[in-house]
Amino acid sequence: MRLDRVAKFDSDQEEIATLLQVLHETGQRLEELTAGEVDTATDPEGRMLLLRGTREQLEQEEVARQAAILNALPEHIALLDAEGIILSVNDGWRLLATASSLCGGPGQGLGTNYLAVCDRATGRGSKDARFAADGIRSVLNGTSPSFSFDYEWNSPDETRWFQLTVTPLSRERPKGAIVMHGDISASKRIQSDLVSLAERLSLATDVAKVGVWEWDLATGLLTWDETMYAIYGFPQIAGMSYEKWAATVYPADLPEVEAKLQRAIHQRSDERAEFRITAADGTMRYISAAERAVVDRSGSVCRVIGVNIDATERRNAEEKLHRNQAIMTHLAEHDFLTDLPNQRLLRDRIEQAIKMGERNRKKVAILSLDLNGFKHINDSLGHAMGDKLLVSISKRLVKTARASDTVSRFGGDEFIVLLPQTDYPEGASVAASRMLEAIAAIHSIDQLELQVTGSIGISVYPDDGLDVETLIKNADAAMYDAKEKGGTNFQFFHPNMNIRAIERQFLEQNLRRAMERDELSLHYQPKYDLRTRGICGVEALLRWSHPVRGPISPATFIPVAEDCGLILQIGTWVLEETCRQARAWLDAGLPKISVAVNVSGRQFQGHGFEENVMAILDEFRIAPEYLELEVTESVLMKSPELIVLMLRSLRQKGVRIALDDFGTGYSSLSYLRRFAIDTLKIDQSFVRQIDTPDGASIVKAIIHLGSQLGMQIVAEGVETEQEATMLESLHCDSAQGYYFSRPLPPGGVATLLERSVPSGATSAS
Amino acid sequence: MTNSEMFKFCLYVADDTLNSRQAVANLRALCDRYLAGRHEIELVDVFKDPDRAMDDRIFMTPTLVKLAPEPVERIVGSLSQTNLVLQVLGLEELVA
Repeated sequence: MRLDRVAKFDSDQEEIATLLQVLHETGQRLEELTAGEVDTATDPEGRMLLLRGTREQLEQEEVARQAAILNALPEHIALLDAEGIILSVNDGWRLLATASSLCGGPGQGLGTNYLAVCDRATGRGSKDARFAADGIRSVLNGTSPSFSFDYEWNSPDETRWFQLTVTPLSRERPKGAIVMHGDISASKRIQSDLVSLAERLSLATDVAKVGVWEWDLATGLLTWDETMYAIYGFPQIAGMSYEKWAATVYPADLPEVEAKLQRAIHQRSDERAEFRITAADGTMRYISAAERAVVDRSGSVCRVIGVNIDATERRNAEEKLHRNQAIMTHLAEHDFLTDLPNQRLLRDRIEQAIKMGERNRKKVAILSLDLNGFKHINDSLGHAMGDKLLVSISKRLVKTARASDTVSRFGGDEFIVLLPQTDYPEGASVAASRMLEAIAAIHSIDQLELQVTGSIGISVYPDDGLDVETLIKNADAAMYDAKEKGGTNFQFFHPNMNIRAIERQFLEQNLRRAMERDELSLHYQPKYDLRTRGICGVEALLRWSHPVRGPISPATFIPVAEDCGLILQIGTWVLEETCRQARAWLDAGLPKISVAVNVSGRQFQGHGFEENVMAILDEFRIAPEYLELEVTESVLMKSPELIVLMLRSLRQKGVRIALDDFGTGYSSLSYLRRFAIDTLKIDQSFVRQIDTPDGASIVKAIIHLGSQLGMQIVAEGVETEQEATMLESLHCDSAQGYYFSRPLPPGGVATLLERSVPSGATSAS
Repeated sequence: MTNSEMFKFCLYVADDTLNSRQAVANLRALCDRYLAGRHEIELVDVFKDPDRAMDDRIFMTPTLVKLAPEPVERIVGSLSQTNLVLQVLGLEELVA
């Protein structure tokens, strides 16, 4: 509405008339000029100009609105008349027309017969087009209430799916139809993905022989797929139940499997299990299983699904592989003929022994053994016989060796023996002798009696080398040395070792004989009461007088005796001899005195030591109170627990225990308390220093300490009156040493005792 | 102009056309609101009575003519802009 113009209408009719004249000729612009506010206009002559229709015009507006709605839809929509001619299309249709053969092609198909277009379609999609035409016809002629079908239409880039829907305009009489193409590619894709996923899963479980089961918790129904039945060997017709399944599982495995199943339900966790079953045919099978709880919409577990795989073959293969691996490893490390460790394993073992030796400050011995004249046996009797002899020899070598030793075949007729953790390397000579002896004994092979000898070379870590190769090389060199010296002997790489080894062997061999030949004897070192200065006891001391070498010090032969085990026999002999002597003195009417005997650590470890002691005391009717067993600190430390028990037991029976050489070992207060000790013997090295202020303090401290613990104190190695007086003033109980008396033979002791009788200074200690 | 004055209108319409129908509705609404009880409306359909339109020199529809009170005013259009209509009718004071 333009009021300025309206106002002029009234004042200037002529102008309006002119305007209307113009407008009459260009009717369309009137609408524009009157801003759409005017319905009719009449020229001055009364000719009316209709600008706007009435109801029909409104209907057209409605159609336009509906067209707008239709254009907004993504679907491709066309309106067909009863003949199939396209009356109108929406924007979607126009877009698609350029792409799909079913939408009429260029020009959007307005006015064209859609049925004809479909019928004429050729090439790709023509079959779908004709099917669509038939469907549209059936709707147009009223035989179908509606029609719909999905079709595929591939663009060069992608596969697309459409759904064609045909809806009649009127139900009563066919007036035409709406044809709509909807793009359903997205939903189609999801659907086809699901189908292909299911197919793939089915194929996968089928090929992989994965059995799938499902257990409904509400109904208790257990459902198996075909593969499950195949694995367990049950017929599918029979059906399955939880109980039936559980009965197939090995009872030993069932609790864990069921526990995991419960855990899957209650903790909603994925569980895996491996268990054994008895299949329907009675065979055992390994099952590898996994399961998972399925949660319903309310969040509670409604069922469990799981898979089973027959893992029997895999398990068998694994076990076989494992076995093969072990065999392979053994073969790689052992000699094929003798089954002894080969070079490779030997080198490893030597390497380890060196490391251990380095850590523990122990020695390692390498023995290189070569057979003498083995070549002749091979040449004359054949390799087969030679091999049998090698096997026989290897068996004997293993027999002579300790469990910790390594006997290896180094190649040909050479063997190498490793002795790890050797205290005395010269002890290797003992092993070497035994081996040479073992080899030299007659071998009975295939009704033949064969004899062969060997030569041994010995190298010692760290003396002769710090690494494997040097040690082997030097053992070999020593072996060739032994061969040069005539064979059937052993040689150390280091010349000094040979001397020590010879000495050791001499001692061991002669010590055995010494027992038989009565070369051992006892002397007795008297002990004096420092207050009364009277004899109160004796300490038995072992003497060995060799027929050729003369006296040999106990310090020299006792370690050998301990090493080769002779100490047990010798110890028993000393104990017996001492008690026998004590009985003899008593029988001669001499005063009772205490007799002390030194005991080695090996004796405590020996079987039945306590019983042996008591038996000897009983045999010679010696009261236990008169026997004192002297032990050193170092001996006690080796197996304290065992020894504590044994010492307590002996003490309970009255036997007295003395700690020898106190102050030279691991002396400690707690240690003195732990062991049941009656007597403390102050080492002579302290007595030597008693005239110095420091020395006096030490001795004073030892005496004080021992007294506090209720022990008797004995000073060793007293050589002067001054020392004796000093000790007395420090309240030392008794003393022994050259000042009082040298060790005496039994007769000397008897004389002393006889003399002491009148003075009345006898002591029962 | 007092509140007791009667307003006489003559509205020329063309049957049931869009703007004519709106003009009738707008005029009625305006009178009910601002001139309640003191207005008279005469409707003239130019299709039915073309001579009357010619006699009254009405060349367009819809056209509203205020006959009373003086002065006579004419408005062409659908009367949808109420403020402008009141202004032309001399009823500005009624515009709040």
